[in-house]
Amino acid sequence: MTVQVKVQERWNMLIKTDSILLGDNPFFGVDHLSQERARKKALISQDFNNAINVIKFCYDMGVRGMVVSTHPNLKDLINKIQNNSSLTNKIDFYPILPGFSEYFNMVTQKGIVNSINEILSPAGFGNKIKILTKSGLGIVRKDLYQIFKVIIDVDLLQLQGTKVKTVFLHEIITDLAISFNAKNLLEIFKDHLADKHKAKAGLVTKNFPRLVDKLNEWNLEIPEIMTSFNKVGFQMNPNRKECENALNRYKGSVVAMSVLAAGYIKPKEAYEYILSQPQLGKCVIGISTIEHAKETFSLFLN
Amino acid sequence: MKIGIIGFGKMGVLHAGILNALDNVQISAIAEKERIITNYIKKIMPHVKIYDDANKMCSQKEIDVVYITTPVYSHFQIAMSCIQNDMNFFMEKPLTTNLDDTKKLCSELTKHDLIHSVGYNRRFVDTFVKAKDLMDNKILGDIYKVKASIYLSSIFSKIPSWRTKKTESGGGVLVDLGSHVIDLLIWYFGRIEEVSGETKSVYSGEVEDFAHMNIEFRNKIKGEFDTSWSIKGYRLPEINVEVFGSNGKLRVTEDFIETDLKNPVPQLDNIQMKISKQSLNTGVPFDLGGPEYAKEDLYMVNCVRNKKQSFVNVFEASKTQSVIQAMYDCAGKGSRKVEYVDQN
Repeated sequence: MTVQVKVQERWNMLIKTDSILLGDNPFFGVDHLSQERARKKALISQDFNNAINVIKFCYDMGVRGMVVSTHPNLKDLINKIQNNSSLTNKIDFYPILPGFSEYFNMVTQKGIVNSINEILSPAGFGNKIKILTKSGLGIVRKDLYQIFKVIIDVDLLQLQGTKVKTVFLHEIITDLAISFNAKNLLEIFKDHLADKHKAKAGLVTKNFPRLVDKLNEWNLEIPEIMTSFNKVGFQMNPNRKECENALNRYKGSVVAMSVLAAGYIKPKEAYEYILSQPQLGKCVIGISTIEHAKETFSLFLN
Repeated sequence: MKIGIIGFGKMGVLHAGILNALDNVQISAIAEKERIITNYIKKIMPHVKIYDDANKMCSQKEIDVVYITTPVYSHFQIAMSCIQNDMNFFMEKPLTTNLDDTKKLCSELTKHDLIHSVGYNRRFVDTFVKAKDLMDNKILGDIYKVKASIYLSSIFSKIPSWRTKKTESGGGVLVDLGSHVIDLLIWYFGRIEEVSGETKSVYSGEVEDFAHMNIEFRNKIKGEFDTSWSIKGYRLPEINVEVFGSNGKLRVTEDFIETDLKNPVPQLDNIQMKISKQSLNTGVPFDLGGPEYAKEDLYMVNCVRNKKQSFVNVFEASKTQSVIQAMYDCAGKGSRKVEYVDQN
């Protein structure tokens, strides 16, 4: 069997099992190859019409899932998708939260404690929190775990009324939990999602081998991990070889992201590598335009 | 190696997260006053000793190095405490809120044999490191001009923060973001001799949101430098350095290096090249917030282990502080010579 036939078979299998996921970064002007290119993209992608065309095209090609970051404009994109009759309730969402850049900027400007106060103020999330929690702000304010749960709840409000499959924890929080041995934080995340949102928990990491070993040491089952996998080892720490080896030590499903190394690798070469790794359960593809979508999908058509 | 962190805000958490994940390195003490944070630390890291008083931590002999990650206004006093207790230290940039305090730190440091480093972490970004290597190998021939900038979309209204109080921050965007680029330029081209230019506050009141400076290096290279944290379209801080020499031009950002040369050089396959960060990527032992932070922390740990002074030490960082002071002094008033702590 030739490499091309094997790659096509594997792609077809991933499409059939709803395992090809569309990433949302191109629709928000996020581009990890170049910030300069991202600025240009952001200027053309503000109204989401291009995004809807790309999502519809990908849906017609069999893509059923979408990875979304809890960006401040996410609700607008979700509304556009849900209001489009050919897409309403047809896309499964895989959010990554908390919306880190929003909180990160707030903490940079105001410090951690002032940011917490602002988040919990009536002008911040205070009014939303009243709807979400019975315990009241006083109790929330004193306990970082409670604040963590509230931030999850608030971020998920943007996805109300959609099908949420797995909720992924942002890499910064996951990786801090690894370093500080904070098993409890990940347990709270998993349990809170299961109890309150009836959703599966996933983790994003930039340190895949370390995370796998920690989960095994803690005997903590997390069904999905999203992490960078690509032919050049970009954002694969400590290196590509160790990440590939760690695939054998993880019992759950790995969602590969940065498969093109942020546009650095040519699609054919990139997907040949990704699709030759049988342990990778899902794959996130970043597509910015219809032309880009056609080019990508043509690789897998007979 | 045992490490103490002073200030468990954003930068303290980030450095602690990286350091605690490195082999044979452990966060053993944290100085932080906020109860909500210290209560959480006690829950997840019960072995870590919590201090209310940073000075007390600086005198603990079992700690090998202290990380100072508090707001700028407290840097001087804490760093002085480290020096007087013979404690190795890393401090976030910028050094201090004014040049007088920097001079006092340098003066005190000459009496102590310590390892010290400052958080000018762009020196650990792959593209900036590679660009230095190429320029040191003379691919541009004789360099005569440089244009540099750093922008971020961050401040579009007055924020209630120490960052916008001159006495607590030492200044606005020039000292906050701009200091990264000034440090890079000094690393690349040596000391800046003279500066002139303007600063402008639109949103932040006491401190500037925009700065534009003309600079002249001691080796006669001329330059322009522009910065703002109030420009739309910059989700992340973005540095752009364009260097012009007798053999052509080099442009470097966090993401890539571009060259456009007159004559070929052995270091590059073509005269027009684009070298992306992906091609320079090597992976780090533990990535949190970007590989440059891990490289910076690993470097500091190795400096302390091997008793080797950091190349981004306080004396080196004092050059940037001197240039910034001259920039503030000259703003709107003509040119100003830079007064260095050590004039040699």
